[in-house]
Amino acid sequence: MSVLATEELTKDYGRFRALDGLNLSVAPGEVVGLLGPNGSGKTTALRLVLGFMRPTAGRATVGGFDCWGQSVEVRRRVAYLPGELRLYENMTGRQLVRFLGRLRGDEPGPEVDALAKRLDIDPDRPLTHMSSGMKRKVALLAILVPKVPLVILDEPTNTLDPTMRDELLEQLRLARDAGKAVLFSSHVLQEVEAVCDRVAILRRGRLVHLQDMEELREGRHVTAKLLGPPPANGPDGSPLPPGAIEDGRLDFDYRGPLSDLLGWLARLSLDELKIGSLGLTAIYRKYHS
Amino acid sequence: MTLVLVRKLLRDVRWPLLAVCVILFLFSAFWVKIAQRVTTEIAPFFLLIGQAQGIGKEVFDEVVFKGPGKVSQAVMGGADVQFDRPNDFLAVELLHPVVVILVSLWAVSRAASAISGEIDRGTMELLLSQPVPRGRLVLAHLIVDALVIPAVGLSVVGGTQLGLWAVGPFEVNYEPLERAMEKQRQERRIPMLIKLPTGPKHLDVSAERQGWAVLNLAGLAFAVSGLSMAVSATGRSRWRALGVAALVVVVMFVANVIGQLWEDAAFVRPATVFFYYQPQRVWLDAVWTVDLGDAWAGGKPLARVNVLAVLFGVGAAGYLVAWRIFTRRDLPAPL
Repeated sequence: MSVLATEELTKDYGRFRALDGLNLSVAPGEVVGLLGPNGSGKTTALRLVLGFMRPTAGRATVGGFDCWGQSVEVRRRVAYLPGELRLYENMTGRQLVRFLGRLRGDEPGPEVDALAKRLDIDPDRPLTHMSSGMKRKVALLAILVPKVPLVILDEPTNTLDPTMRDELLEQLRLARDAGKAVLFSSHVLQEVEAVCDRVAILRRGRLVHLQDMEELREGRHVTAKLLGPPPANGPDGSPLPPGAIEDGRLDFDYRGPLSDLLGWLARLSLDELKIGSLGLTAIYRKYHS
Repeated sequence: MTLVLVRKLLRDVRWPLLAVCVILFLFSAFWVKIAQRVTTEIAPFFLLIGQAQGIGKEVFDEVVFKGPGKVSQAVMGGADVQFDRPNDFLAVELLHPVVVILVSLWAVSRAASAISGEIDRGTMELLLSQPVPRGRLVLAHLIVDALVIPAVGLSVVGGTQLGLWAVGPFEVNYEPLERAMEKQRQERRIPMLIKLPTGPKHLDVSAERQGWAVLNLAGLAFAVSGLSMAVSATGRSRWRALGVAALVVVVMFVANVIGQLWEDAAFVRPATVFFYYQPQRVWLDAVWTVDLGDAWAGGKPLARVNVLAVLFGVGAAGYLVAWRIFTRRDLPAPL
């Protein structure tokens, strides 16, 4: 059963349709990425889920609770890291985490210090004395402490250095492994590839492609120069896709057992053979070229 | 949860609140000294001069408060203010621009920042991403008002009490005046035209009913706060909300003053909160009502309304409007 489910979720700003009929779900123990350029509707989708806005049409639910009508129950089950991060500058990191925790009825304990150490921040330092990257780490600390079934992050790696970016992605994996559902938006393909189980590609407010990352990771991209006659069929015995052989070069995507691919390639006369993993880049460019 | 919010909001306002309370406290204490000086030295002096020339006190009242001096009455209030009576002069403090402007400005800026300020700063998303009902945030601000407005009022009362203790009794001492007049008589060889009273004259002063008048001040502050909160609930810019709320308050103030000066414009007065701000009537006469006939029937009795009921009612209505708007609107994304 999904933790988060949207059903024809739509939002208009006047005559401009920012989100158009989004159907998406996120299951426990799953990381789903929302991928798209600026203005594609990612943040709108997240803010609708959090009950910041009323949908024009459709609905979103978290744990069965409607995101607009039962927003408080939804937010009880969600930890959210906003894209545009603004914190209470008159607090320290610890005070902020404690304040937000108390609003949830929790009293954060020693896990704050453990997580702060892992994120390399001093929680007792005033937020006014922190850089934007450190503030983002404090905000990350604040959302990782609560025990909630759904974590939502809007472009979470903005302003993070590479080490902390890796740490953040690791934390998302840990959250997934702990059974949480994670939904995050990004326009950085590598991050999405690194951690997501599924990726939803948005374009002008519409969901244009939903990609299972496991399938993508099992796939291979093969290029080579043909020295002999071109093969009649592919590794699985079926015809090769159109355009796979052009001007004496082999170029195609393969999804299937690696051993079959290697056996098939061994029977051909080839040069400059390259076998790489399938990436999101080609898929993304297909919708955003 | 509400307590957590209230504590956070109180923490946010603690320094401006302290500044406002200190200023009002000191001003109130200083005002007692001014009241003593006016009622025991200046007013007796002018009254004696007038007496010597055959000019009665009523002439001073006519010039200062009515006719060409009517603007004084409009600003300082109280058709029956007697400047030689300490309690009357003390009561004028609550209509002094320092007090009215400071309290109004405090109420406007605190409430106007409440919702639009959080949105403007971008912290509203952080707050509302927690399981906080939007109405609870409005309630928290209402509770904060219920705590800080009495604190402001107590500053005024405390300052007056300190002033009364520091300046001591209000006694008109005629000896310096007698000495000065005797010296002048001898130097210029003019006769003494009047006989000065003998011995110091003790003037009664009591701030016992000041607390009630400060309640009227609290009502004004709450009304302004409620109106500002309603404006704040609709906006996304703190400064715009503050500007609009301040403009509304200034327009009401000016309309009330103009309505007092110009009878044709008097009908607008009951639409302003300042019409229901009558601290002198409360303090000096224990009258808690105003008559709408003062504005709508040329001074003839029409219908009496309780000033506190109207002011607190306006404040409550403002909060209700704020609650209704804020719980239903889309939250704009931070800029």
